[in-house]
Amino acid sequence: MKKVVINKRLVSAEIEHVLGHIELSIETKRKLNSILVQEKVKKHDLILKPGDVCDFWGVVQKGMVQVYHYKNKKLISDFFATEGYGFFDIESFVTGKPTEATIEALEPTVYVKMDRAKFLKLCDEEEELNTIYQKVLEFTLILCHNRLDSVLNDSAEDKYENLEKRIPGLASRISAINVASYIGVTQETLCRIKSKQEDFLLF
Amino acid sequence: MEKGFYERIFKCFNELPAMALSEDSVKLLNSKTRVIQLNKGEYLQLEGDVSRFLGIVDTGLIRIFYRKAGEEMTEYLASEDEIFYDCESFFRQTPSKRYIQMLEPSVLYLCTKTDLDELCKQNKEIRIFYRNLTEQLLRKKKQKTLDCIFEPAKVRYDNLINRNSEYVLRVPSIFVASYLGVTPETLSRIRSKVK
Repeated sequence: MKKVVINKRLVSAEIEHVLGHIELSIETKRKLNSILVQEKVKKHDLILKPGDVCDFWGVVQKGMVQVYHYKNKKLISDFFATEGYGFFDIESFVTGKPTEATIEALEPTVYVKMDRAKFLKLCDEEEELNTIYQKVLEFTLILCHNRLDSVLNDSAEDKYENLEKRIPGLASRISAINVASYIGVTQETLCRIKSKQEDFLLF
Repeated sequence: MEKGFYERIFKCFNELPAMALSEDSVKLLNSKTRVIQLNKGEYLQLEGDVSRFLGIVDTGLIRIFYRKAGEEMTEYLASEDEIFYDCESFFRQTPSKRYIQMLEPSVLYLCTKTDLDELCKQNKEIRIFYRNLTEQLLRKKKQKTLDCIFEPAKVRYDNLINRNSEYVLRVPSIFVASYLGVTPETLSRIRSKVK
Protein backbone atom coordinates (compact mmCIF):
# COMPACT_ATOMS: atom_id res chain seq x y z
CA MET A 1 0.00 0.00 0.00
CA LYS A 2 1.28 3.37 -0.99
CA LYS A 3 1.18 6.12 1.57
CA VAL A 4 0.43 9.58 0.29
CA VAL A 5 1.05 12.83 2.05
CA ILE A 6 -1.86 15.12 1.38
CA ASN A 7 -3.33 18.38 2.48
CA LYS A 8 -4.17 17.70 6.10
CA ARG A 9 -6.77 20.41 6.40
CA LEU A 10 -8.70 18.70 3.63
CA VAL A 11 -8.63 15.36 5.42
CA SER A 12 -9.89 16.85 8.61
CA ALA A 13 -12.72 18.64 6.85
CA GLU A 14 -13.66 15.36 5.22
CA ILE A 15 -13.80 13.52 8.53
CA GLU A 16 -16.01 16.17 10.05
CA HIS A 17 -18.35 15.90 7.12
CA VAL A 18 -18.43 12.15 7.45
CA LEU A 19 -18.98 12.10 11.16
CA GLY A 20 -21.93 14.38 11.42
CA HIS A 21 -20.88 17.97 10.97
CA ILE A 22 -19.38 18.28 14.40
CA GLU A 23 -17.06 21.23 14.67
CA LEU A 24 -13.84 20.15 16.35
CA SER A 25 -11.58 22.56 18.19
CA ILE A 26 -8.32 23.47 16.49
CA GLU A 27 -6.36 21.52 19.07
CA THR A 28 -8.36 18.32 18.54
CA LYS A 29 -8.10 18.75 14.76
CA ARG A 30 -4.36 19.04 15.05
CA LYS A 31 -4.14 15.87 17.12
CA LEU A 32 -6.49 13.99 14.80
CA ASN A 33 -4.54 15.07 11.74
CA SER A 34 -1.36 13.73 13.30
CA ILE A 35 -2.74 10.17 13.35
CA LEU A 36 -4.65 10.16 10.04
CA VAL A 37 -3.03 8.29 7.19
CA GLN A 38 -4.41 8.54 3.70
CA GLU A 39 -4.19 5.46 1.49
CA LYS A 40 -4.81 4.98 -2.20
CA VAL A 41 -5.60 1.52 -3.50
CA LYS A 42 -6.33 0.04 -6.89
CA LYS A 43 -9.44 -1.89 -7.82
CA HIS A 44 -9.31 -5.41 -6.29
CA ASP A 45 -6.53 -4.53 -3.84
CA LEU A 46 -7.07 -6.17 -0.46
CA ILE A 47 -7.11 -3.76 2.46
CA LEU A 48 -7.57 -6.56 4.98
CA LYS A 49 -7.38 -10.32 4.55
CA PRO A 50 -8.24 -13.27 6.83
CA GLY A 51 -5.52 -13.74 9.44
CA ASP A 52 -4.66 -10.03 9.61
CA VAL A 53 -5.57 -8.03 12.68
CA CYS A 54 -7.90 -5.14 11.92
CA ASP A 55 -6.10 -2.57 14.05
CA PHE A 56 -7.54 0.45 12.27
CA TRP A 57 -10.77 1.93 11.06
CA GLY A 58 -11.11 3.56 7.69
CA VAL A 59 -13.35 6.12 6.07
CA VAL A 60 -13.85 6.08 2.30
CA GLN A 61 -13.18 9.44 0.65
CA LYS A 62 -13.52 8.30 -2.92
CA GLY A 63 -14.44 4.95 -4.43
CA MET A 64 -15.89 1.94 -2.66
CA VAL A 65 -14.78 -1.00 -0.54
CA GLN A 66 -16.51 -4.25 0.24
CA VAL A 67 -16.31 -6.17 3.52
CA TYR A 68 -16.98 -9.87 2.99
CA HIS A 69 -16.74 -13.24 4.68
CA TYR A 70 -16.04 -16.64 3.21
CA LYS A 71 -17.18 -19.55 5.31
CA ASN A 72 -18.57 -23.04 4.67
CA LYS A 73 -17.74 -22.47 0.98
CA LYS A 74 -20.19 -19.57 1.01
CA LEU A 75 -19.29 -16.00 0.10
CA ILE A 76 -21.23 -13.41 2.02
CA SER A 77 -20.94 -9.78 1.22
CA ASP A 78 -21.35 -8.00 4.52
CA PHE A 79 -21.12 -4.31 3.73
CA PHE A 80 -20.38 -1.88 0.92
CA ALA A 81 -18.73 1.31 2.14
CA THR A 82 -19.09 4.20 -0.31
CA GLU A 83 -17.94 7.80 0.02
CA GLY A 84 -18.33 8.99 3.58
CA TYR A 85 -18.85 5.57 5.14
CA GLY A 86 -16.54 4.06 7.71
CA PHE A 87 -15.42 0.44 7.60
CA PHE A 88 -13.70 -2.08 9.85
CA ASP A 89 -14.15 -5.63 11.06
CA ILE A 90 -15.53 -4.95 14.50
CA GLU A 91 -14.67 -8.38 15.93
CA SER A 92 -10.97 -8.11 15.20
CA PHE A 93 -10.94 -4.37 15.85
CA VAL A 94 -12.27 -4.83 19.38
CA THR A 95 -10.58 -8.09 20.38
CA GLY A 96 -7.24 -7.64 18.59
CA LYS A 97 -7.57 -11.20 17.29
CA PRO A 98 -6.99 -12.19 13.64
CA THR A 99 -9.91 -11.40 11.39
CA GLU A 100 -12.04 -13.77 9.34
CA ALA A 101 -13.13 -10.94 7.08
CA THR A 102 -11.75 -9.57 3.84
CA ILE A 103 -11.89 -5.92 2.87
CA GLU A 104 -11.42 -5.31 -0.85
CA ALA A 105 -11.50 -2.19 -3.00
CA LEU A 106 -14.22 -2.54 -5.62
CA GLU A 107 -13.10 0.64 -7.38
CA PRO A 108 -9.91 2.68 -7.30
CA THR A 109 -10.30 3.99 -3.78
CA VAL A 110 -8.93 6.71 -1.54
CA TYR A 111 -9.54 6.33 2.18
CA VAL A 112 -8.16 7.59 5.45
CA LYS A 113 -7.29 5.21 8.23
CA MET A 114 -6.84 5.63 11.94
CA ASP A 115 -4.83 3.28 14.08
CA ARG A 116 -7.03 1.89 16.87
CA ALA A 117 -4.63 2.38 19.77
CA LYS A 118 -3.70 5.92 18.74
CA PHE A 119 -7.29 6.82 17.99
CA LEU A 120 -8.63 5.51 21.30
CA LYS A 121 -5.88 7.30 23.20
CA LEU A 122 -7.00 10.52 21.53
CA CYS A 123 -10.63 9.76 22.34
CA ASP A 124 -9.65 9.34 25.99
CA GLU A 125 -7.97 12.74 25.91
CA GLU A 126 -10.50 14.68 23.87
CA GLU A 127 -14.13 14.39 24.83
CA GLU A 128 -15.39 15.86 21.55
CA LEU A 129 -13.57 13.20 19.55
CA ASN A 130 -14.92 10.49 21.84
CA THR A 131 -18.42 11.82 21.16
CA ILE A 132 -17.80 11.40 17.44
CA TYR A 133 -16.53 7.84 17.87
CA GLN A 134 -19.49 7.02 20.10
CA LYS A 135 -21.79 8.26 17.33
CA VAL A 136 -19.93 6.17 14.73
CA LEU A 137 -20.41 3.06 16.87
CA GLU A 138 -24.09 3.82 17.39
CA PHE A 139 -24.65 4.53 13.69
CA THR A 140 -22.89 1.26 12.78
CA LEU A 141 -25.02 -0.59 15.31
CA ILE A 142 -28.19 0.76 13.70
CA LEU A 143 -26.97 -0.22 10.22
CA CYS A 144 -26.07 -3.67 11.48
CA HIS A 145 -29.40 -4.04 13.22
CA ASN A 146 -31.32 -3.06 10.10
CA ARG A 147 -29.28 -5.52 8.07
CA LEU A 148 -30.14 -8.29 10.55
CA ASP A 149 -33.80 -7.40 10.40
CA SER A 150 -33.65 -7.37 6.62
CA VAL A 151 -31.84 -10.74 6.46
CA LEU A 152 -34.57 -12.34 8.54
CA ASN A 153 -37.69 -10.62 7.30
CA ASP A 154 -37.29 -8.94 3.91
CA SER A 155 -37.90 -10.49 0.53
CA ALA A 156 -35.01 -10.52 -1.95
CA GLU A 157 -36.80 -7.72 -3.85
CA ASP A 158 -36.93 -5.53 -0.73
CA LYS A 159 -33.24 -6.15 -0.03
CA TYR A 160 -32.30 -5.17 -3.57
CA GLU A 161 -34.38 -2.00 -3.43
CA ASN A 162 -32.92 -0.97 -0.09
CA LEU A 163 -29.38 -1.49 -1.29
CA GLU A 164 -30.16 0.49 -4.42
CA LYS A 165 -31.52 3.34 -2.32
CA ARG A 166 -28.34 3.51 -0.25
CA ILE A 167 -25.87 3.15 -3.12
CA PRO A 168 -26.62 5.36 -6.12
CA GLY A 169 -25.74 3.71 -9.42
CA LEU A 170 -25.58 0.31 -7.74
CA ALA A 171 -25.90 -1.81 -10.89
CA SER A 172 -23.00 -0.15 -12.65
CA ARG A 173 -20.74 -0.01 -9.57
CA ILE A 174 -21.05 -3.45 -8.03
CA SER A 175 -20.82 -6.74 -9.91
CA ALA A 176 -23.86 -9.01 -9.98
CA ILE A 177 -21.91 -11.66 -8.03
CA ASN A 178 -21.34 -9.29 -5.14
CA VAL A 179 -24.87 -7.91 -5.12
CA ALA A 180 -26.27 -11.46 -5.20
CA SER A 181 -24.02 -12.51 -2.32
CA TYR A 182 -25.18 -9.51 -0.30
CA ILE A 183 -28.85 -10.27 -0.87
CA GLY A 184 -28.29 -13.99 -0.39
CA VAL A 185 -29.65 -15.20 -3.73
CA THR A 186 -28.19 -16.79 -6.86
CA GLN A 187 -27.24 -14.61 -9.78
CA GLU A 188 -30.17 -16.02 -11.76
CA THR A 189 -32.62 -14.89 -9.09
CA LEU A 190 -31.00 -11.46 -9.00
CA CYS A 191 -31.44 -11.24 -12.75
CA ARG A 192 -35.16 -11.97 -12.41
CA ILE A 193 -35.51 -9.31 -9.68
CA LYS A 194 -33.83 -6.71 -11.87
CA SER A 195 -35.93 -7.54 -14.93
CA LYS A 196 -39.13 -7.34 -12.87
CA GLN A 197 -38.09 -3.88 -11.74
CA GLU A 198 -37.48 -2.80 -15.32
CA ASP A 199 -40.93 -4.08 -16.35
CA PHE A 200 -42.38 -1.97 -13.59
CA LEU A 201 -40.55 1.10 -14.79
CA LEU A 202 -42.07 0.78 -18.27
CA PHE A 203 -45.46 1.56 -16.83
CA MET B 1 -21.48 -2.93 48.04
CA GLU B 2 -24.97 -3.64 46.80
CA LYS B 3 -24.95 -5.05 43.31
CA GLY B 4 -26.52 -2.67 40.81
CA PHE B 5 -26.67 -1.90 37.12
CA TYR B 6 -22.89 -1.79 36.72
CA GLU B 7 -22.18 -5.17 38.28
CA ARG B 8 -24.97 -6.73 36.25
CA ILE B 9 -23.53 -5.47 32.98
CA PHE B 10 -20.43 -7.58 33.58
CA LYS B 11 -22.54 -10.69 33.89
CA CYS B 12 -24.05 -9.99 30.46
CA PHE B 13 -20.77 -10.45 28.61
CA ASN B 14 -18.48 -13.45 28.62
CA GLU B 15 -15.60 -11.45 27.39
CA LEU B 16 -15.28 -7.94 28.64
CA PRO B 17 -12.10 -5.91 28.51
CA ALA B 18 -10.90 -3.90 31.45
CA MET B 19 -13.88 -1.69 32.09
CA ALA B 20 -13.33 -1.27 35.78
CA LEU B 21 -14.65 1.95 37.24
CA SER B 22 -13.58 3.54 40.49
CA GLU B 23 -15.91 3.03 43.42
CA ASP B 24 -17.19 6.60 43.12
CA SER B 25 -18.05 6.20 39.45
CA VAL B 26 -19.80 2.90 40.13
CA LYS B 27 -21.87 4.58 42.85
CA LEU B 28 -22.71 7.45 40.50
CA LEU B 29 -23.76 5.14 37.67
CA ASN B 30 -25.78 2.87 39.92
CA SER B 31 -27.50 5.83 41.54
CA LYS B 32 -28.85 6.90 38.14
CA THR B 33 -30.39 3.52 37.40
CA ARG B 34 -33.72 2.23 38.57
CA VAL B 35 -35.25 -1.15 39.26
CA ILE B 36 -38.80 -1.86 38.17
CA GLN B 37 -41.10 -4.80 38.47
CA LEU B 38 -43.63 -5.63 35.77
CA ASN B 39 -46.29 -8.30 35.49
CA LYS B 40 -46.58 -10.90 32.79
CA GLY B 41 -48.08 -9.34 29.66
CA GLU B 42 -47.23 -5.77 30.68
CA TYR B 43 -45.33 -3.47 28.35
CA LEU B 44 -42.24 -1.38 29.03
CA GLN B 45 -42.61 0.27 25.63
CA LEU B 46 -45.37 0.62 23.07
CA GLU B 47 -45.28 1.45 19.37
CA GLY B 48 -44.85 5.21 18.95
CA ASP B 49 -42.85 5.63 22.17
CA VAL B 50 -39.31 6.96 22.08
CA SER B 51 -37.19 4.19 23.56
CA ARG B 52 -35.74 5.48 26.80
CA PHE B 53 -33.93 2.59 28.40
CA LEU B 54 -30.90 0.41 28.21
CA GLY B 55 -32.05 -2.50 30.32
CA ILE B 56 -30.89 -5.66 32.00
CA VAL B 57 -33.19 -8.49 32.96
CA ASP B 58 -32.68 -9.41 36.61
CA THR B 59 -35.40 -12.04 36.70
CA GLY B 60 -38.05 -12.93 34.16
CA LEU B 61 -38.24 -12.87 30.41
CA ILE B 62 -38.95 -10.12 27.89
CA ARG B 63 -39.41 -9.89 24.17
CA ILE B 64 -39.05 -7.07 21.66
CA PHE B 65 -41.33 -7.23 18.65
CA TYR B 66 -42.96 -5.16 15.95
CA ARG B 67 -45.92 -5.61 13.67
CA LYS B 68 -45.51 -6.24 9.97
CA ALA B 69 -48.52 -6.94 7.75
CA GLY B 70 -50.57 -7.93 10.79
CA GLU B 71 -47.94 -10.34 12.07
CA GLU B 72 -45.84 -9.96 15.19
CA MET B 73 -42.16 -10.22 14.38
CA THR B 74 -40.19 -11.25 17.46
CA GLU B 75 -36.87 -9.54 17.20
CA TYR B 76 -35.26 -10.23 20.51
CA LEU B 77 -35.69 -12.34 23.62
CA ALA B 78 -33.86 -11.67 26.86
CA SER B 79 -33.88 -13.46 30.19
CA GLU B 80 -31.77 -13.29 33.36
CA ASP B 81 -28.50 -11.38 33.02
CA GLU B 82 -29.14 -10.32 29.46
CA ILE B 83 -29.04 -6.80 28.15
CA PHE B 84 -31.76 -5.35 25.93
CA TYR B 85 -32.39 -2.11 24.07
CA ASP B 86 -34.36 -0.97 21.06
CA CYS B 87 -31.42 -0.07 18.85
CA GLU B 88 -32.50 2.67 16.46
CA SER B 89 -35.01 4.41 18.69
CA PHE B 90 -32.70 4.32 21.72
CA PHE B 91 -29.65 5.76 19.98
CA ARG B 92 -31.47 8.27 17.78
CA GLN B 93 -34.20 9.09 20.34
CA THR B 94 -36.88 8.85 17.67
CA PRO B 95 -40.32 7.18 17.95
CA SER B 96 -40.17 3.40 17.69
CA LYS B 97 -42.34 0.86 15.92
CA ARG B 98 -41.40 -1.72 18.54
CA TYR B 99 -43.02 -3.09 21.67
CA ILE B 100 -41.17 -4.39 24.73
CA GLN B 101 -43.34 -6.90 26.51
CA MET B 102 -42.94 -9.10 29.60
CA LEU B 103 -43.42 -12.79 28.86
CA GLU B 104 -43.09 -13.53 32.59
CA PRO B 105 -43.24 -11.40 35.75
CA SER B 106 -39.93 -9.54 35.44
CA VAL B 107 -37.55 -7.39 37.43
CA LEU B 108 -35.56 -5.01 35.23
CA TYR B 109 -32.58 -2.73 35.83
CA LEU B 110 -32.87 0.35 33.65
CA CYS B 111 -30.78 3.36 32.75
CA THR B 112 -32.19 6.11 30.53
CA LYS B 113 -30.39 7.47 27.48
CA THR B 114 -30.66 10.98 28.95
CA ASP B 115 -28.97 9.92 32.18
CA LEU B 116 -26.27 7.97 30.32
CA ASP B 117 -25.49 10.98 28.12
CA GLU B 118 -25.37 13.22 31.17
CA LEU B 119 -23.10 10.81 33.07
CA CYS B 120 -20.78 10.57 30.06
CA LYS B 121 -20.44 14.36 30.04
CA GLN B 122 -19.66 14.51 33.74
CA ASN B 123 -17.45 11.51 34.19
CA LYS B 124 -14.58 10.38 32.00
CA GLU B 125 -14.50 6.82 33.36
CA ILE B 126 -18.18 6.29 32.62
CA ARG B 127 -17.68 7.79 29.17
CA ILE B 128 -15.03 5.20 28.35
CA PHE B 129 -17.06 2.46 29.99
CA TYR B 130 -20.06 3.33 27.81
CA ARG B 131 -17.86 3.39 24.71
CA ASN B 132 -16.46 -0.06 25.50
CA LEU B 133 -19.96 -1.30 26.17
CA THR B 134 -21.17 0.04 22.80
CA GLU B 135 -18.27 -1.72 21.06
CA GLN B 136 -19.31 -4.97 22.73
CA LEU B 137 -22.95 -4.46 21.74
CA LEU B 138 -21.85 -3.92 18.15
CA ARG B 139 -19.71 -7.09 18.24
CA LYS B 140 -22.67 -9.11 19.48
CA LYS B 141 -24.99 -7.67 16.87
CA LYS B 142 -22.51 -8.36 14.07
CA GLN B 143 -21.98 -11.95 15.24
CA LYS B 144 -25.70 -12.54 15.31
CA THR B 145 -26.12 -11.06 11.83
CA LEU B 146 -23.37 -13.22 10.35
CA ASP B 147 -24.81 -16.29 12.11
CA CYS B 148 -28.18 -15.60 10.57
CA ILE B 149 -26.61 -15.42 7.13
CA PHE B 150 -24.20 -18.35 7.40
CA GLU B 151 -25.81 -20.82 9.72
CA PRO B 152 -28.90 -22.89 8.97
CA ALA B 153 -31.85 -22.54 11.36
CA LYS B 154 -30.92 -25.83 13.06
CA VAL B 155 -27.50 -24.51 14.10
CA ARG B 156 -28.99 -21.22 15.25
CA TYR B 157 -31.55 -23.09 17.32
CA ASP B 158 -28.72 -25.12 18.92
CA ASN B 159 -26.84 -21.89 19.64
CA LEU B 160 -29.91 -20.45 21.31
CA ILE B 161 -30.26 -23.60 23.42
CA ASN B 162 -26.57 -23.46 24.34
CA ARG B 163 -26.88 -19.83 25.34
CA ASN B 164 -29.66 -20.55 27.76
CA SER B 165 -31.24 -23.95 27.41
CA GLU B 166 -33.92 -23.54 30.01
CA TYR B 167 -35.43 -20.27 28.86
CA VAL B 168 -35.99 -21.38 25.28
CA LEU B 169 -38.46 -23.84 26.74
CA ARG B 170 -40.18 -21.00 28.60
CA VAL B 171 -40.81 -19.02 25.40
CA PRO B 172 -43.91 -19.89 23.34
CA SER B 173 -42.68 -21.62 20.17
CA ILE B 174 -44.35 -19.10 17.88
CA PHE B 175 -41.98 -16.42 19.28
CA VAL B 176 -38.92 -18.69 19.02
CA ALA B 177 -39.79 -19.43 15.38
CA SER B 178 -40.19 -15.75 14.58
CA TYR B 179 -36.92 -14.97 16.39
CA LEU B 180 -35.11 -17.55 14.24
CA GLY B 181 -36.86 -16.31 11.10
CA VAL B 182 -38.52 -19.67 10.36
CA THR B 183 -42.11 -20.91 10.32
CA PRO B 184 -43.49 -22.70 13.40
CA GLU B 185 -43.60 -25.90 11.29
CA THR B 186 -39.88 -25.68 10.53
CA LEU B 187 -39.12 -25.08 14.20
CA SER B 188 -41.13 -28.12 15.18
CA ARG B 189 -39.16 -30.23 12.66
CA ILE B 190 -35.90 -28.89 14.11
CA ARG B 191 -37.06 -29.68 17.65
CA SER B 192 -38.06 -33.24 16.79
CA LYS B 193 -34.61 -33.83 15.28
CA VAL B 194 -32.98 -32.56 18.47
CA LYS B 195 -34.87 -35.13 20.52
